[in-house]
Amino acid sequence: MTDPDDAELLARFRTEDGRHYAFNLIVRKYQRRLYGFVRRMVTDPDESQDVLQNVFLKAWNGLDRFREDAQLFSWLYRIAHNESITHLGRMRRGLFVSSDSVIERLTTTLDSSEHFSGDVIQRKLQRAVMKLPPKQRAVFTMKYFEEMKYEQISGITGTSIGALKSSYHIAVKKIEEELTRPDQTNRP
Amino acid sequence: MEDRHEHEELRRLAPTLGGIPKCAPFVAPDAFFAHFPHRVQALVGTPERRPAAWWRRTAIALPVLAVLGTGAWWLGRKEAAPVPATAIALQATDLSDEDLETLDLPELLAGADGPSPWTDVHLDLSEAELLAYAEHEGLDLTELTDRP
Repeated sequence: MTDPDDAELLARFRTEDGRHYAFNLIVRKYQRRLYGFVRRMVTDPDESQDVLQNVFLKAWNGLDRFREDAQLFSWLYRIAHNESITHLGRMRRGLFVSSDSVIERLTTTLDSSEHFSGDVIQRKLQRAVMKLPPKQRAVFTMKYFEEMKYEQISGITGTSIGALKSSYHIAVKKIEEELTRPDQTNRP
Repeated sequence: MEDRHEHEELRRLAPTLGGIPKCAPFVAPDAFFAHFPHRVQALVGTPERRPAAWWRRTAIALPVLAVLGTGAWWLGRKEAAPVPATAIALQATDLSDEDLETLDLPELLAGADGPSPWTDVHLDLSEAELLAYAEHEGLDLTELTDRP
């Protein structure tokens, strides 16, 4: 038995009896990809769960107004993107600290997390990604890790393709600099 | 074609980054994806039957009608002919001073429905307490005791 496609899920969601069942299938279908993105943005597993939960709550509340000329996945991804950016901003405001302090906290979380299976170079790459400003980090994550097209990223972020290309180019250069810089902290 | 071009561009621009194999190093907690949909379902609530459109319209219309009705009643009440003050004065002066002096309030209220609030009232004050009360209230006792 094949999984129902998005159009079928949305049609079922709009029926009174199938609403909850269809939404459950939508969560099951997209939770892994969205978790991957949110986790790369937020780093902490518990906070990632909370953000992902908010993403689906917002989706539940807004799915009635979802226009089918957009892709369901892109729409969900846009909510995840916005929620992650909001979370990082709230974290900075909540701690009354600078962006550097937030990066430091995220790095500590990464180093102490048991839910990170990457080797030394993956850890170093993730630390470099964390140093990017949140919006640039989102663009880099979508382009580099998720291998999305610029058109799709543009639909999610609401940024022009030219600006996205420029942002990605800058992010890649920054990360390369971080990766080639001698490690001063003696972290593994 | 475009992907290959982008990959080559990346390797040229950032050889170290381009040489790192892509993987998913972040691991979700145990059984997270099995439990998460249930957690979301619990938050969005139990299945509910959405009210019909006519009921939603009625639910909005009823409070509006109640407010309008109260407003109309309030305006109608203000426009009603007021009782002339002279009629009240006449009723109030129907009793003579003698009648007022002979009035026994507990007795008057004894016939009313329910327990009378006056039957249990006892003014058991000493002279000193009465004087203190009068002093506190600024009462001129001579006005109360001296009759013209």
